[in-house]
Parts: sequence; C-alpha cells; structure tokens
Amino acid sequence: MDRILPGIHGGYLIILVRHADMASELQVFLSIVIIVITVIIIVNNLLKYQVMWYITQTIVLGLLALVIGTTEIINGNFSQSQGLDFITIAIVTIAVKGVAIPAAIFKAIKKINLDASPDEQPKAFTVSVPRAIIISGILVLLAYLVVQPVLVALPPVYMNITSVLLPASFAIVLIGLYMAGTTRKVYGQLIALLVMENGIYFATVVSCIEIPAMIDIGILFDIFAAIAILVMFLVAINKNFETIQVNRLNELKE
Amino acid sequence: MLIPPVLTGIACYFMKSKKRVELVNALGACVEFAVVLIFTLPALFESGYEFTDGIWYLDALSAYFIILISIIGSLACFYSINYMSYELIEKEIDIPRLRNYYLLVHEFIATMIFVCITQNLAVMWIAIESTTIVSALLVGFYNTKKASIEASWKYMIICSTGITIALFGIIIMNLNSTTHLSLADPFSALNWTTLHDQASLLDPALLKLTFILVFVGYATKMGLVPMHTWLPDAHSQAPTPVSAMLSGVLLNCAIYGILRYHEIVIAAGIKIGGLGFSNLVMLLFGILSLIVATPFIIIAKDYKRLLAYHSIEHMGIIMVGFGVGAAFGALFHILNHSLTKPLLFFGAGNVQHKYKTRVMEQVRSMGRIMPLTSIVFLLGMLALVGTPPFSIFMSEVLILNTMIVQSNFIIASLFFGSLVLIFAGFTTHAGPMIFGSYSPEPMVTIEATTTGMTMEQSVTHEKSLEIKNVSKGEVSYANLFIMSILLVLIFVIGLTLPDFLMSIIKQMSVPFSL
Repeated sequence: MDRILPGIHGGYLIILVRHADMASELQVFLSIVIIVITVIIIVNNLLKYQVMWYITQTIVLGLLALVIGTTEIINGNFSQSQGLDFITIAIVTIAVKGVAIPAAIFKAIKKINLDASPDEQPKAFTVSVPRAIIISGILVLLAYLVVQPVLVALPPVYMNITSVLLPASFAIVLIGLYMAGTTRKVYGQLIALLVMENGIYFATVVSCIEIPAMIDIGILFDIFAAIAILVMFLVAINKNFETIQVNRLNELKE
Repeated sequence: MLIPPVLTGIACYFMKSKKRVELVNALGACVEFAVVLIFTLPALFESGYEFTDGIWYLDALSAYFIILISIIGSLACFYSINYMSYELIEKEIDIPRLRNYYLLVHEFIATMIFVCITQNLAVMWIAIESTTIVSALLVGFYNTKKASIEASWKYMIICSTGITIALFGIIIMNLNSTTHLSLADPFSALNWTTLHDQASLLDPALLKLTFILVFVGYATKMGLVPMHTWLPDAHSQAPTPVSAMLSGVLLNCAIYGILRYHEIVIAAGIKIGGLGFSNLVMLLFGILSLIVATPFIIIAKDYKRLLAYHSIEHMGIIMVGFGVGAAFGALFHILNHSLTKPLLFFGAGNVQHKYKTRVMEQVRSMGRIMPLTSIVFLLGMLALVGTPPFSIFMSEVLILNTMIVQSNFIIASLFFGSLVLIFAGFTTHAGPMIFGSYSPEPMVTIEATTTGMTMEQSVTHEKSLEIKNVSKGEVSYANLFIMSILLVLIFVIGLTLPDFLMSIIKQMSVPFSL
C-alpha cells in the first residue's frame, strides 16, 4: 500500500508508472487508442471532425510521451535531465502539432467555406467502417510481421516498450500511406500526411531515444512550414478549381 | 557558404526597382560562386581532406556536389535576368513577384548547399525537406494558373510523404546506433562519419530496414519510378531557370543523401548473394526507372515534360551505375547530366518565349527562325541521348562496360535497349522541331514527300508561321552565351577528360566501388 500513498511526489500518474506492469499496460492502452483514432479519421467525413480527431490523437501521443518519460526516469534508463528534455520536447511538439497546425487548417476551412454543404460533397475517404477496420488490422499485422523480427537484437532495456510499440508506429505510417493513396479529396491527402507525421513522432517516443533538442525542433519547424504551405495551396486550389476533389485535378494528364 | 545566397536573397527582396534587383542578383551569384570555390577547392584537391565539426562537414564528395550546385545555380541566376524581364514585359508577373522570385531562388540555392555540408543525418533530412518547401513555392510561382498550382500541390504532397518515410528510417538508425555503439554524446548518434567508422557494430537487420526506408524516401525526391509522378508536372510548370535547377542539381541532393547511407551499408558489409544489399536496391529501382521512362519519352508531347522524363531516365542510369559498382561512371554521369540538362532547359525557355507554347507539334522550323538556339539545342539533345563525343556518352559507356566485364548481360541488354529506344525517340521529336515545317491543312501529297517541299507548300508554311505570330530572330544573345558555356564544357569533358577531374572522381569513387 505504501506505493499508492506518495501523492506529494506527483499524483496519480507516478503511482501508475511505479508499477512496471501497469505502466507498460498503460502504454499499450494509449497506443491502441492512437491506432483506433487513426481508423476513426479514415471513416470520418468532414475535415473539421478529422482535424478534431487529429488533435485528440496528438494529445494522446503527448500523454504517452509523458508516461514513457516518467517511467524511464524512474527505471533509471534516463537521467533526470534527459527525461526532462524528453518531456519538454514532447510539450513543444504537442504545442505545434496540436495547436498551431490545426489553427492554420481551421483558418483555411473558414476562408474557403469548406464544410458549408456537407451533403453535396463526396466523402474524403470512400471506405466503409468495416473495411477501414479490416484494412487497418491487416496493416497493423503487416507492420508487426515486418518490424518486430528486426527488433529482436535490441538490448533487454528496450524490449519492454520499443519492441512492442515501434511496430505500432510503423503501422500508423502505413495506414497514413493507405489514406493518401485512396482519398478522393485534396485535403484528405493533407490529413494523411498529418497522420503519418504523428506516426513518426510515435516512433520517436516509443524508441525511447533522446534526439537532441535542436534537431527535433528543426524537424518540427520543417513539418510546420510544409503544412503551412500546403494549406496555402489548398486555399489556392479551392479558389481556382472550384473543387477539392483529387480526381478533378486533371490539368496535367498525359 | 550558406551566408552569401541567404543574404543575396534577402537583399533582392528589399530592392525597389527592377534594375537594382537584377544587379544584386548578378553580384550575389558571382559572390556565391567565388565563396563556394574558395571553401571547396582545397577539399577537392587535397586527398583525404576532411573538415568535421559535429554539424558541418566537407570532403571531396560534398565539395563535388556543392560546386555543381553553385555552377548551375549561378548560371540559372544569370539566365533568370533575361527570362524574367521577358515575363515582366508579357505581364505574367509584376515587380513584387519578381523580388519574391529572386528571394526564393537564392534561398533555394542555399538549402541545396546546406544538404551537402552537414555531417548529421537528421540535419540532412531537415535540409532536404527545406529544399522541397522552397522549391514548391517556386514551382507554384505562377499561382494563378491551374496547372501550376496542381503541380506544386502534387510535388509538395508526394515529396513530403516520401520524405516522412525517410524520417522513420532515420529514427530506426538512431535507435540502432544508440543501442549498439559507444557514443560520446547523443548528438553523434546520427553523425554519419561515426556510423561509418563503427558500421560493423551496427545491427544489420535494423540497418537494412533503415536503408530501405531512407531509399524509398529520398528516391521519391529523386524521381525514381514508381514515386516519380510529381516530377514531370513540377519540371514542366516551374519557371524555366527553376526547372533547370530542379532537374540539374536538386535531384543530385537526393542522390547525395542516398550515397551517405550507401557508404554506411557498404562499410557494414551487408551482402545478399554476393552483391551488396544497397547495390541491389539501387540497381532494381534504377533499371525500373530506365525502362518505365523510355515509353514516356517516346510519346511525350510537351518538350519540357520530355526533358523531365529524361531526368527520370538519367537518375535511373546513375542508380544502375552505383548498383553494379561502376561508381566512377555514375559519379561522372552525375556531372554530365547536371551540365547537360540545364543547357536544354535554358534552350527550352527560349523556345517557349518564341513560340509561346510547350507543345512540340506546334514548334516547327526552329532552324530557320532562330538558327543559333536551334544549333545549341540540337547539340544539347544529341548530348542528352548519349551521342559521342559528348560527355554523357562517355559515362554511359563506362557503366555499360562495367556490366559487361561482370558478365551481367541481362541488365546490360535492358540498359542498352532502353538507351537505343530513347535515341529513336529523340529523332522523332527533335528532328521535326528544328527542321520540320507546319503541315498545311490539306494532306501532303505523295509527290511532295518524295520531291521535298514544293513551292505551294513553302508558301503555306510561311503563312502558317505568320499566323502563329512567330518572328525570326534569336530571343537573347546573353542566354545563348550561357548555354554555349555549358555546351563547351560537356564537349571538352567528353573529348578529353581532364586529368585533375579524373583523379578527383577516381578518389571519390573508391568507397563505392565493388
């Protein structure tokens, strides 16, 4: 019982991660939540809700980073400063991905009046719910089949988290690719890219490595600039083409 | 090296009049070139020269790529002066957009140099992504045209997606090095020199996964089949000087990225069936690109798209070269392609301004209308499809030679067959463009085809030229001068490969040779 008592040390989260089993269970649970949100994004119709779910996914990722960072400090794999760096980077990432990028997209939605008449617009992803679940399931399975055998050579410290969850992050990247390939709307490609970027951040978190802050922020800035420019082009496409469907972008066919 | 282009770009942005912008642009281009030469020449000529600093890095290979970027970048800046003034006269753009253009062009050069002077693989990723960002803005420069917006969207989304996959590879590489190597600090976990030195300690399975992911990512940027779909669109829609840079040197940046990983994989000694793992991947994608690009070259209708498909073909050739271990030929081919392709794009820019179309069928009798441009253009085309004595022929033969020495006959025949077909494609395209006449509306009689052009026909021909509003005369002699510099370079290199160049390339090719 003495383990549940030290509330002064830092609340419920610490109590959870003090139990190694519970901590890893929590990590697995959060990862499953992340994958489920990806599927929800596929079957969703409107960009507005997709971005909402994307924000949720990002926040869950941040939570996961917090849990892993704390666990690693307590387990002694991270020094205090390393762990703090890890968590700081997580907070900055969430700020950019969860706030700045959605803000840019919402601004664009307002500008081009995207969701004005949802009934007339075709779905961004023409995937039914069962099919989305089946395909995502297959992709997750594939990711585990491909990546997990590769991870057996890792030192035992990494076996708990990394070997279990790194394939999941690869699965998210694969699902993002699948989305990019099947979407019928231009903004669907944007969402797919965002999901893939989240998959990448997921991978950084679960591989428990400390990437130097400068590099991380550089990568983040690059991604943000890319998304900002894509949003700009999205507005331009809407203005010039009067449509945002991929199959109507056919000025450049052979 | 990064400072001059960045500053020039900013200075161009703040200049008021057109004259001043152009002056700053020209001066900046000269300074950029000079600074690059000062820093890189020691790296090229002193064997074993290495400058390392944790983040910055310079050796012969990076110097080679940087000099190419700087040559083509500066020439494109000079070419832009005439090209953009013409666009200004045609009211395609206005002065603020002209300033934007020069700002972006110089930043583009800076980001490309940035790719080649970094030691850290993640920083290299950042640099490659930033080239995409800046050049996407340049591709979508005419942002009121549908096609141009579509091209830049496609470019941006495909390249960002591809390069995201490469980032996943880099994370796995980081995991690999932190768990298997003894590192001084976390920053060196992605220093490729460290990785290269301790490559044998890396876990081979993870390294293989990394290479595949990074290769797919950077090959997207390079335009290898099947991730090539953005390339013809972006190259045909961008302003011509930008197309020249995209094709001539931006693709090289992606090659440079792949080569650094290639070195690590070679040092780790991962082999499959006697052939290096990375070699095999490169060979596969290279030959696929070469084969797929061929029919597109033959059926192309738009001459800028034709040149873009040629880029895919040449990237394929370079990858095949590295794949079979003909590193000397491949590195030499990089140089030749980088010099030849901008020459043709510059020529294409002149043609576009004269005929105001990019459709090849509407471009006829160039030989009569602008004789000098068409001579340079024709020679450039001949060089591009691999006609002796131009330098591309030399490097192609070197690569083919290696294959035959290894008795790799299947690959050799595929390679050679594609090149022959591409040559045939060239004759059907360039011939009519330069020597052909507009076919008059009534079908050409059999008599006319056998006896050459009849009186009646040539009259209709002159008329159709008048209708098309194409006047005789060259577009610009300054641009012709820029083109002839490149032409002379490829001609001289093709005839007599200078000794110093030979020793430089030989020295660079050592780590990649089988």
